[in-house]
Amino acid sequence: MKLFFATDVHGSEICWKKFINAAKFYETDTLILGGDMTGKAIIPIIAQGGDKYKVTLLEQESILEGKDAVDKMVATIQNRGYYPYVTTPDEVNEISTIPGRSDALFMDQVMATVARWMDYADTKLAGTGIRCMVCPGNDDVFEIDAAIAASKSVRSVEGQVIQLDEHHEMVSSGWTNPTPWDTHREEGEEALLSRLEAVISQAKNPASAVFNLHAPPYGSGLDEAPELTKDLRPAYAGRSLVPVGSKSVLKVIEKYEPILGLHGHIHEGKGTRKFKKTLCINPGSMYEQGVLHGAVVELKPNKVGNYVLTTG
Amino acid sequence: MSEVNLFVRKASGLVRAWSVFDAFIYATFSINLITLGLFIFSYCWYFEGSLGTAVVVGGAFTIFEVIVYASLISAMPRAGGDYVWQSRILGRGIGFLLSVTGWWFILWLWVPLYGQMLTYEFLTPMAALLGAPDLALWFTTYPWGPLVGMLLVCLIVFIYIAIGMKWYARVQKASFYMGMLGLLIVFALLLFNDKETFIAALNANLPAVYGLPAMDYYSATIAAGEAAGTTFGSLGVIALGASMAMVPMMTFFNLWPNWGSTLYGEVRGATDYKRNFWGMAAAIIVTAGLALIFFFLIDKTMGWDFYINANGAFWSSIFYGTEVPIPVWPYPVQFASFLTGSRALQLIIIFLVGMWWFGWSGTVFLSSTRVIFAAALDRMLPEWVSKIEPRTRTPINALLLMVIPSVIISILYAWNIVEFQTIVLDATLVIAVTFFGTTLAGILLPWRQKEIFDGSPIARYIMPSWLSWLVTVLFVGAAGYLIWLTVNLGGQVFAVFGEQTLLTQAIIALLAILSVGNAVLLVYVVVFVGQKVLAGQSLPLITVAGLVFFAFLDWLLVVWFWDPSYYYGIGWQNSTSMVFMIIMYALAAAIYFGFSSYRKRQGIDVDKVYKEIPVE
Repeated sequence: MKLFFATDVHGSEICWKKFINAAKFYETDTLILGGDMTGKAIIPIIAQGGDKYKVTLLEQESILEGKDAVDKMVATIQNRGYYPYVTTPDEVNEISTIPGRSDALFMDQVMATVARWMDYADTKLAGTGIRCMVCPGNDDVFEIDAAIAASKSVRSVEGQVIQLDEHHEMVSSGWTNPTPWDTHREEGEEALLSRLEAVISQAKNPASAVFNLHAPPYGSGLDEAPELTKDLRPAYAGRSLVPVGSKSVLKVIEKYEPILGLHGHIHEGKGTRKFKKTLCINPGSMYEQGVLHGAVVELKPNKVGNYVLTTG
Repeated sequence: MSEVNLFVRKASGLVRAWSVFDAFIYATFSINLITLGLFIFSYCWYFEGSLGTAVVVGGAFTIFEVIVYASLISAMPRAGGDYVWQSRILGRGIGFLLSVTGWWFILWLWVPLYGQMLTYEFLTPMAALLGAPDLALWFTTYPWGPLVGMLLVCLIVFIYIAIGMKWYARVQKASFYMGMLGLLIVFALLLFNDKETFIAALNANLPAVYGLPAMDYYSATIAAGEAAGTTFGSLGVIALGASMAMVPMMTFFNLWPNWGSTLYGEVRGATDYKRNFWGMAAAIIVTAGLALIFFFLIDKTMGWDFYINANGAFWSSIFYGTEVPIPVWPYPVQFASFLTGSRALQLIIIFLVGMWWFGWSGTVFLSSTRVIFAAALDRMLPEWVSKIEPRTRTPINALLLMVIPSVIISILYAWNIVEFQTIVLDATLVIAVTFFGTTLAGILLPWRQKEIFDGSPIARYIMPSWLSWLVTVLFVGAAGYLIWLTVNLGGQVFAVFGEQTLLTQAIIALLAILSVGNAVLLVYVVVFVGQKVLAGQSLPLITVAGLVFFAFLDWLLVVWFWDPSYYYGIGWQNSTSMVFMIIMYALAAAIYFGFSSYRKRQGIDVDKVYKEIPVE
């Protein structure tokens, strides 16, 4: 079997569409998204009166005139992974000042986007025989699981063991070790190890399985991120790279020696690393540029066949 | 209360801005005044222009390089640099060929150069000051002394890679402060002393430190330099025309501010572009300023004629075996340190200024290992090259792919086999060709990758119509001049074609073919950009800056290759240089086509690696 794996699309509309179209392009039968589907920012498009709107994207303020200009800006914002929100100055003020208002808005945007993405996937994948699996990551709110479950063609695989083919199972978890941002699906290494062991225990043969774990193994080189200062600035202008992966993930990979580890989480950590017989892959992410990093991997009965990392 | 224009939620990767000053430090180390700068200045002993003018003009053109790179980093960050930009915009083959040669193979040649600088600037003066003059002179004597320096480079860089980027970044920052302190002491010594004191100090210290016989080294050095045919222009004049000949030499040190570039964090905008720009541009400006201050202090206290003649006498002795009174590389830092009578202070100065070397030297393999890894990820190299040795966590095989060829090249260099020591500037030329490709990618980016450009922070930087026209017209003029210059210089070479060996004739024929290709490329860019301007489009800043830097790089390539006065020594007259470069590009092409074909037979469609996935 041949699978396409991508991860960390973070709300980028174009990246999601590329992901869904990737199976046809790379001639694979299975699509796997490693996690972190949701965006991180909302960009308000603020009505100025008289069919004029003001928007500030990437610190560049623009005045838009008319629906076509607004639609174009909406597409640009969505492709970068942000949520466009057409609004008024008063509402912007409300969102900024009333506690919980921006969280509610984020939830609306996240859910609407995931629903739209599922519709797109259902339309494109129906009748193709292509399987599509996603495993929400640490940045994804729990509510999206239900939205994914509602899809006909996309399956949420968090905490599950899936039979990929007669020879291979896939163990999945989007949970990670703690980050400086206190995200939704993160926990201490001990708890994470218990979680992973619980999922792996469902597998009949972990040694021939694929471990689809969002966090990369600690110290693998797939987990190198800029060292941060206490106030969350990249130290040494981002040149000092430190391992931030999960020691629990490393432990289960070294213990069970699955044939393949699929990881993400660290966008800068694009690469591969071999741990004994396990090939670990982090394709990295360039979601803000609308470029879908991925990996095409061929699975043979007891080993990984050909593979290549892609920049699509 | 200012209007809110962005809401962010708690999510990983959202970081605050990094320090421009830190970025400046790393860029300043990349265009290293002490290692690269002093080394290439010492080669400028047969030019009539002003070294100061050449530094300023070279720096001015490099600002356009900074704009191109800062723009590409902003538009396509974390992409993998030149390799991915070129592969995505120009095509996978071009990206592979230019990046593998410019960021990997040519670094093999940089190892002996780094080794030379280590021996000249650190090992030799330190050994002398520590009371081992014979060892000091041995370090400078080919082949064994410099070869040891070259092997030490491999060892030191291996250690840097083993300790990882976390600690190397710290070493670099500490080295910057120590190196700057050392340079400040040197400037103070030169500022507060006069020429008579310097002459006395030089003549007293050389025998005392190096165990040489007592004599008037100052006068003898000037005489030896003059006898070697040293020529130079006055430092105080601009002499733009004559100084332009030195600009291709200056690129050896000031073409690399982009090595200090950085970009991290998400949901960030134009200010990060500016931070990158200023980090690199400030490095260019400050380094050029420091170079000018150094020049004028050398002129004031040592005498410009002494400095240039000392360089001429030394290199003439290396290349032509002429007499040289001072048997070590004329290191102006050590000369300045002679102005203090304290051996301890002299030692401290050499040590502190030596930190410019130690903080910088890791760069020689770091970029290479990244390109090797990137190529392996694209399946254009075997998987074993990206193996990480588990105990030391070092990319052992990638390092061996650097170290083994570097040792071979170092041996060729140390023994000067087939005059290998003449190809110093190849180290710049090959990387300049890589930058040439990236600059072309930058020019085309707004149209070839329209969606990426439109959604990037640099989309706001659109030049006014008049400036778009002006730069386009100037580029058309520059393209015409470059084609004319090529025909002119090529014509001079073809006039003596019959007198050349078969190998040289083949090289001339190859250069002629490349020149035709270059002319076609120039015309293509003229037509491409001209059509946009004629259609009423205003050009983005990246395109405008790219056109200027593209023309500059093209000029460098024309004068390096055709080089009628044999100023740079790496063009058609130098078979070693040309064959060396041909082998490198042929090797890259062989890997590219060989692995593309092999992977296709394996069922991997490598042609799709950089192709955009069509969205239906």
